[in-house]
Amino acid sequence: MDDRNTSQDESMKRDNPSASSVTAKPLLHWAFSGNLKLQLMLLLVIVLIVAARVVPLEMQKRIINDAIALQNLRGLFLYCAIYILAITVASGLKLSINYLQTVIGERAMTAMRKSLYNHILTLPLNFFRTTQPGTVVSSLMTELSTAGSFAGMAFAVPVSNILTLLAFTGYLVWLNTKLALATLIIYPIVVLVIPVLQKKTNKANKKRVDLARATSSQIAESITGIHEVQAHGAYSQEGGKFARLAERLQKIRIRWSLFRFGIKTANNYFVGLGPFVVFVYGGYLIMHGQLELGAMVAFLSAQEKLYDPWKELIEFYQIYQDASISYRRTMSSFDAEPEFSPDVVDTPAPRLTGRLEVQDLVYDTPEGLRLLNGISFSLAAGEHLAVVGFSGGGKSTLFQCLGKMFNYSSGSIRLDGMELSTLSKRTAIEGIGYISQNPFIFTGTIEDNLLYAQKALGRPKPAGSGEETKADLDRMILVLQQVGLFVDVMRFGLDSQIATDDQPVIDKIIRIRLRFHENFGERLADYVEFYRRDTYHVNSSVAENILFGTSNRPDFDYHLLPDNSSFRSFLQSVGLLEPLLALSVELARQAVDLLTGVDKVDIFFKNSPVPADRLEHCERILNRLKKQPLSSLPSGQQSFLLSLALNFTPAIHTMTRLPAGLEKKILAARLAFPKWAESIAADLFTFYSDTSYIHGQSILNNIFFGRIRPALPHAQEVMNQAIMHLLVEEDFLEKVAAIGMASQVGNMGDRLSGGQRQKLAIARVLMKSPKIILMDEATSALDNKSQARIQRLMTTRWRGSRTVIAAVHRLDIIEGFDKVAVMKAGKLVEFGTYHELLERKGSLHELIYGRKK
Amino acid sequence: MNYWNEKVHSMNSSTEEKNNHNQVPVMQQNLELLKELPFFHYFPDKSLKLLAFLAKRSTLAAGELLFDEGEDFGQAYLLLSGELTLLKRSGEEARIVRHYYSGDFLGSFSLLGSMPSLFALQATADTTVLTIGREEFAKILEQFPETGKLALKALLKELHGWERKNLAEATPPGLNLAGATML
Repeated sequence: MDDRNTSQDESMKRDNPSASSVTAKPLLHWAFSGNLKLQLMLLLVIVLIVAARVVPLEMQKRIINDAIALQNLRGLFLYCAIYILAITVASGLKLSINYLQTVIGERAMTAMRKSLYNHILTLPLNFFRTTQPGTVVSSLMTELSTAGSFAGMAFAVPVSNILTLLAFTGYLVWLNTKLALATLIIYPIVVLVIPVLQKKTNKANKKRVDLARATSSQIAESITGIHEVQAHGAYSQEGGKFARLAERLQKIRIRWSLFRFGIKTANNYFVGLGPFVVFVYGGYLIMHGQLELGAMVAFLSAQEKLYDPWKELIEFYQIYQDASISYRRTMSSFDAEPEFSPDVVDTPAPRLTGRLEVQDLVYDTPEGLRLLNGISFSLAAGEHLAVVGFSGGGKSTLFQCLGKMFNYSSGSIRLDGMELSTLSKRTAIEGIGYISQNPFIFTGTIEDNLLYAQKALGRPKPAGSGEETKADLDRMILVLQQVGLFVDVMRFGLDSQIATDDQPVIDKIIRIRLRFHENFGERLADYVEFYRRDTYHVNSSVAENILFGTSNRPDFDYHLLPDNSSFRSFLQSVGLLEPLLALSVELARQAVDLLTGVDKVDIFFKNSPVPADRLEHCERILNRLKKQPLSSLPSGQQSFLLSLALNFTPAIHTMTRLPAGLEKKILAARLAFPKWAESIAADLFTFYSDTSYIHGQSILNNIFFGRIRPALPHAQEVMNQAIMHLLVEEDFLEKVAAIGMASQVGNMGDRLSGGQRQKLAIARVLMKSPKIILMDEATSALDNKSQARIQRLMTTRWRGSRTVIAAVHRLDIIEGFDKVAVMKAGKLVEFGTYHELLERKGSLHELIYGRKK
Repeated sequence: MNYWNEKVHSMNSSTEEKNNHNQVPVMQQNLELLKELPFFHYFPDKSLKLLAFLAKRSTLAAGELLFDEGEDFGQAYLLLSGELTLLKRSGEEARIVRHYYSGDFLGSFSLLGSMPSLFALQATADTTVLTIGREEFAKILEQFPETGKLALKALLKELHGWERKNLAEATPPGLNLAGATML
């Protein structure tokens, strides 16, 4: 690193002292900062409780000496009353101490977690190469919690116990000075012995914390790489790594616990000597008339009461030692400097045009590996550069340096003539959009992810004022269309359900349904099975075919019907119960025959009438049926069987057919069903009719008024076009898009395909409209059409207005770029226009046409 | 082919929903069809049954594209009725490579791994196909490890037969394109 860079780093440190000192703060800081008022309140309560604790002792003495000995009944009642009052008050105060302690502890821990987490988020990327996510998780969630609970007691426990100790000691001295001094002699001995043991405990504890961390990062590693582990069957290898650590941890934990208990035992032993001294010396004093019996009783209990605060003090000492060790270790492991200060606000952020000059750029890893070796090139604003080359050539590193994710070691990167390293992180983030090859999608809605970069810049979506929101929605839709994600989002929207009380939307959908049937009904009959009152629907379940409607009461939901005895008697009355049970047995038999012994994976079971976890249950029922008739089954098993038949959907469960004659019976039952429903309650069900909305089904099914037949993806496209057309005509497109954007992407985006994730990542960067766009193989998971769409977007919309640098692995698309750079082993070996480079017959030529033989 | 047409005709999926007199379950029909294919000839019964269960029937209108050039379609198709046409684009126009009719099975290579298609496939009449997806097939291979070898064997046999047939018809200028079996 040259001088300029070093001094620059130092200036950054000065700029931002708060971030680095989070890890340097002492443990006690958290107990007091921001909690001063609470701590003072605590002190007050403690003083009160100490007083309340001494009172019973004096009462005890007076009960024996003044009341019992002198037969003073009034005195007895008075003293007992004071006694009980003092104990009650003490208990109440103890509760409030605990409460205050908890509040302080939790506040301290939350403050610790928040500031440490914010610190961790800004740490350089290099830091996370060596730090497992699991380590961060366990540090924040487990290891800091001991420190937090300590912070809660940091003040209360020592103060209250020392005060109590002093109060009791004072009382003892007041009772009998000689005896008091004799018993108190024990405590200095304890004070000498315990620190020795504690030192050993600390040593063991340090090892324990380190090992625990190593173990959790080992777990994190194995789980992160679980695909590889399972692919290679390396169960015993990974298990072995874990076992070795776990065993070492076991040993050290035993050692640690042993020392801890050693301290406790030593303490108990010495303190246990107290009564011994009282009996020997006190007995002697009584016999010589120097002490009253009542005083000795009071002395004994006071002496015993010394023990509790003392024990708590020792425990506090132990917790303090443990907590400060895990606190120090935790903090020190995150004791790194953020590479860039994130919060510095620019006075006004310079508007970039996108001109870029790179001169002699070098990047060395902290380990001294040179990943970029003297890169130089320049691009005019709005020019497009394709970077090609062999993997490991340094493309990604170059992109990360350009995106200000690493500090480069030497050389310069100039944006509009300004050195990148002198620009604040915020200016860089605002002007540069970075899209990685494996973009990370955050748990939440599509919209959350779409606005992610924009929100980070503090440009939140304007809420409230209708017009601005509309403009924002239009912009999101435009960007989604540009990256080719719009159709997917529409699909999500159409597959969603809407709230039951959204009447305007419901009316609109009904209207669209009618128009759809007018315009496309006939043409799409092959793709959709439309609901008709008098036909059997093979894409719907038997239950849906009978009901031909949806329940308005949760206790009459489809999945509860098999258990419903009155529904069963309805089936009986229309002659369906027995045939349906027979069908169930057949379905169970087929499923068991087909799926027993295969892996319980979704791909096998998604079209099975029996869910994977009920297969064995089915098998047991079938075995039972071999010997006994159906009617002998317990009612639970009967309703389970019935549920199989009621869920049976011929188009999906292809292993069985609907038996001859059953279809007619079901259609007859459909006609009889409303009457039965009416007999239970009015409006129990809403029956399908082409003018009413079907709740519990998707918008798409509601527009179709039917169910889609299983079809090839291309059939889907035909339907999409038809629907899209109608939605535009009915001015409903934006509404559906908004619903689609509000749909969840799943845990870290797992409901999206690889292509959808990449498109969303591109869209997310487009939303903040940066001047420079860095695409690190950002379209690698896209199919040809989507790839071509992005290409078109680049040439028609971005050329001249946005500078683009794209790492490209598909060489057939680089002709459209203004410049091409070829990278090899950290160096830029060729730079020029596509045709120039081809004519030169150098590296690019070799990459495209192979080595000349 | 006659045998095929009869067999397939009786099981046409669009008629199947309307006449329920045919009491053979769809899966059973699929199984009968798959059993006839040389590609699956030696597959154990249970694996074929599962495959028949996982296979999907779809209808296509004339003119619909099943996949385009460059797409990784990842499916094998058994034509049940209608006509499919394989196309190769050159510039603006598309040249017809071959037609497929009911009983033809295509796409078995794509079941084994991802591969961008060099051709486009289009329905040139209203068509019904039985499709097997790569994901489903991969699961079968995983569940019944012996099927991997069988599939490879069938594939080699097919490739060999295909090249031998081409060689028999090839004229000298076309010969330099031969030799797929020597890869």
